[in-house]
Parts: sequence; structure tokens; C-alpha cells
Amino acid sequence: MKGIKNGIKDFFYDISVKLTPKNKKTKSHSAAKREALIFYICILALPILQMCIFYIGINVNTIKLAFEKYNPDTGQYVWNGFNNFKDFIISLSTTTVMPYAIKNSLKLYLIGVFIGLPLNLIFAFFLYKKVPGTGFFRVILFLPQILSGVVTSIMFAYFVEGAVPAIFEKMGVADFPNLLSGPVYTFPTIIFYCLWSGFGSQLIIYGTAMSGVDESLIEAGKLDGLSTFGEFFKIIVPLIFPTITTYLVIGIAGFFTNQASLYNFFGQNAQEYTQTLGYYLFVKVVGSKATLGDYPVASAAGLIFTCIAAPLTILVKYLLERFGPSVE
Amino acid sequence: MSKGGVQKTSKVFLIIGMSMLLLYTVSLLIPTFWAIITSFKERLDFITNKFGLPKVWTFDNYINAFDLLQVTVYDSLGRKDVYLSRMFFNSVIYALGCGFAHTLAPCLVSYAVAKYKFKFSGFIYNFVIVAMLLPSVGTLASEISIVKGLGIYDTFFGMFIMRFSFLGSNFLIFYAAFKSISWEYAEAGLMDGASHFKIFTQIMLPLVKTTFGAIFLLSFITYWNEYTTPMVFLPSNPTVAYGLYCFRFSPKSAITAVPMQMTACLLVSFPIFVVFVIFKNKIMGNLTMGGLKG
Repeated sequence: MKGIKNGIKDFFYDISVKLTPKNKKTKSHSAAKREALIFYICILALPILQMCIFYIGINVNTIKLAFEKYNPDTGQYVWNGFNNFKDFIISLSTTTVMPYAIKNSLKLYLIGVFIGLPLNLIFAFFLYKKVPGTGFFRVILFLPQILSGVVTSIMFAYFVEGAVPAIFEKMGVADFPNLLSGPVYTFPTIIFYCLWSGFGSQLIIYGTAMSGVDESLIEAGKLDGLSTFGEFFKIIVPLIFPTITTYLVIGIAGFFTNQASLYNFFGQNAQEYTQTLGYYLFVKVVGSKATLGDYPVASAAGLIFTCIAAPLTILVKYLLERFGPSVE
Repeated sequence: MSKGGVQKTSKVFLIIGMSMLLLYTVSLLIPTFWAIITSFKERLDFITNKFGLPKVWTFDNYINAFDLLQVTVYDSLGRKDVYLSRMFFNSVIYALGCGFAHTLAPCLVSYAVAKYKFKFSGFIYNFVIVAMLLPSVGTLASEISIVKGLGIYDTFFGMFIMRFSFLGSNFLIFYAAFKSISWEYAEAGLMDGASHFKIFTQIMLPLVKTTFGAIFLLSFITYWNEYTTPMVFLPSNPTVAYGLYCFRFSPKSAITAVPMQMTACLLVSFPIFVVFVIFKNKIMGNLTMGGLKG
């Protein structure tokens, strides 16, 4: 077996020797450059082609769809001017779901930034400081990341609907409400779920960024009488701020796309008062009631969201870089 | 601040932080243990005993799951019942292929961009940054129509092509990795007559293999767990994650019984858990990404 393997290896080596130009020293500069260029084109060709179709093509097609409407008689899309945009903007005030969707998306986004992000940073910092049990915590904190969202939401849903009322009943509280139904409890429960199951990926990125911080800075801080608390706020956070900025900036689109796991919990039938913009658009395209006729309005809505999100993203990036904390 | 004061703030910060960490850990572990215990309960046992230990420990749920859990799909040949073992097979193919495609594309492109100083490299780098900064929202409808137009809808191969994308944070991670490697290795190779291809596959790739491995494993886990994309783009080849979503809304009461649901959740998670435990040091600590400069 090994003999055959070596034989094959030798065979390829011979070929490669024969194919390699012998007189390398005389190879002109332009020939070397040409070889580099050929290789460059070869490894880029397929990924660039993919990008042209699946990034540029899809986005251009979204813009095109947004100005069209579906004609069910011919099965073709025809020009529709700005009517899809008009329809969508009118729907903001005429439908009952949109005000809920906007309000819920906003709540989710703000809580993610002001509660989720600090918690992630603090947890990452504790793991970085190697508190007792770090190895154990690292695995546990990573659990929500390795479990499928559909697994955690099913477990969470049955736990909340089945086990939690049973526990309260034993403690003498009868009629404990189902936290996943009704307008009062559902969305707060969903927000809790999103925070609860949202640890993991950010932890790794922040953790790695923190481990790249120069130890001598921390030593210097300690000599200046900095507490652990001060070390976190005055050294670590400013130094890894570019990484935090990246997450905040990319996260803005999440305001429009976050489905808040609603599809996991309720399928296509989430109540209007729990919907988010991301969920609303998703169901509009893939729900069982969706038809080819729904694509244009969904695309127009997507385009409007992009037009709001894009400048906002650039602005936030600029502001964070301009006014973000820096190390003194 | 006095030394005592410093120690006091440190202590308060530590205590509050540690209690939050502990509280969170407990909140994760309780539902997980509850799910494990529930999966060993009989259906009737669960109805009267929602939180306690099982009256009789039974493995039946795990055995029955492979006969019982099933999704009905429709393809060109008509109605088809897909069982759990087939869904596992689909998941393996889907996660391996998509995970590999989503690691290879950014690896190739970031290598070219980081190491070859053609003008186009700068353009691609900026393009990636801009694509990350400019959110594209609501493109799903357009994506579906393009995938259908290309004739790759509902095929594994089509999914792999869709995932062969270099845009996104994987590009930046690979870019940082390749930037940190000296080009002198390559120059030495070129002097010896090695081709650019050989330098890439035999010198450069081995140097970034930990990064490659970490990104591949994370992508594998992501695609194993993801269900909405296979649901939309691969409807007649359900993966386990999509199956799990379907079971919850199944009309059969034997499937929607809570112990069976928990069994299904645990069965789906088990392979990923094993992969994670084996490779956890490879996954954590090998990914560095800086800010977005552009």
C-alpha cells in the first residue's frame, strides 16, 4: 500500500519537475508577474462570479422587483412605478401590525445594545481574568451557541409552559399565567429569551480581543492603583473598542432583520402584538399565504429599510470612531 | 483612590459579576436537565408529573423516535415521508458542504487580497467592508427567484454554491491571519521554482490551518443548527433542525407529546455537542478580528 502511494508521489514529482521551467534565474520580471497574475485570477474567478450573482445580482434584482408587480394571468412581472413603496408606506398607518412591529423591533434592539452587550462584555472579562471555574463557565456559556435556535426555543417553550407553572403550583401559587401567550407576557418573555440565548459568539470574539491586550498596560494600571473595575472600564473596553464598534455597526441592520426567534416559537402564526419587522417580512415571503404577488411589496419594504439603515450605519460608525473611548 | 477603596470596588465588582455568571449558568442548566429527565419519562407520567423525576425510567422515546418522527414533503415525484435517520444524513451533507464552502471562499479571496498587491485587491477589500456596512434587508424574495431561475432550487449543490460566499466576517478573520504571515516563505519557494499554487497549498494553507479549522467547525455547527434556509431553499430534503421545527407543529399527538419533543431536541443536539467537546479548544481562541477600517 505504502509502495503504491510512494510510486504515485514520485510520478507526480517527476511531472512537476518536467513542467517547471529549468532556468529560473533568467525568468524575466514580466513573466514572473504574469504567473502571479494567472494564479491570482484563478483563485478569485469563482468566488467573484458567485458574488456577482448572489450579492450584486440579488440586490439589483431586489431593486428591480420593488418597482414591479406580478401579473397572475401572464405569470410575468410588469413595471409598477412607485406603487409598491406607496402601498407599503400606507400600510404603516392602515394595518394594525406595523406599529407593533416597529415598537417591538426597537425594544429588542435597544435592550440588546444596553443590556445584552454589557453583559457579554462583563462575562467575557471574567473568563479573561480566569475566575475560578473558567473552564466550566466557558463550556456552559457556549451552550446556547452550539445548540440550534430551534432546540433552545422548543426546550424553553415547553419549560415555560409545562414546568414553570408546575413549580409555582407546588409553591402554592395557583393559576400561574402562561408566559408565552397573551399580549401582556408574550413579548417580554421573547425579549428575555433572546437575551438568555444570545450569549456565545460575541463572547468568543470579545474574549480573543481581550487576550490580545498588552499585559504591561494592565500591570501599569495596577501600579497606578486601578481596581479590577477600573481595569475593565479604563483599559480593556477602550482597547477592544474597535471590535465592539464592529458589532454595533453590523448590528444596526439587525433592527430590521431580527426575527426574535418568533418563527421558532409560533411558526407563521405569531400574534400581531409580538411581531417584529424581520418576522413580518420573512413571513410575507415564505409564509403559506405568500404568493409571487407578495414579492414586490416585500422587496420595496426591504429597500426602504436599507435606505434607512445604510446612512444610519455609516453615521454610527463615524460617531463611535470619533467619540468612542480611548486609552489615556 | 486609597488602596482599601480599590480593593473594595474590585471585590464588589467581582461579587456582582460572579453572581450574575452563576445565576445565568443555573438558568441554562435547569431547563437542560429538565429536558434530559423529561426525555426518559413515559407520556402519561409527564402529564401528572411535569417537574419531578420519572416514575419509571424508559428508553422507549429514544427507540421510537427513529420510527415515529417523520416529515412529509412533496417533490417532483409526489408525496414523500422522510424519517429521522434520513434527516440526519441530509444534515451531515448540508452542514459539511455549506460549512466547507463558507470557509473556502473567504480563505481563497483573503489570501489573494492579502498577499498579491494588484489594484483589484484593494477594491475587493473595500467592497467587503462596504458590503458589511451596507445592510441589505428584505432580499429573500429576490434570492428565491434567482435561485429558481438558475435551476439550482431544492438541490444540495445549489445550497453549496449559495454558501460559497466570501463576504462577511470570515474574510476579515482570514485576512488578519494571512497578513501576519511573512511573504519571505513564498519568496524562498518561488526561488526554488515552486508555483504560486504550490506555495498556497503547501506553505500558506498549513500555516493558517488552525484558523481554517476553527471557522470550518463553527460554520459546520451553524449550518447543522440552521433551519429556515433549508426550509425555504431545500424543501424536499429536510434536515434534522428543520424536522425539529416541523415536529412541534405536527398533527400527531405521539409526536407533540413533550417527552418525545425533548427526545428529539436532545438527539439533534447530541452530535454537535460531541463535536464541540472534542474540538472546543480549537474553536475557542483561534479567531481574531479587529475593527472595520475602510
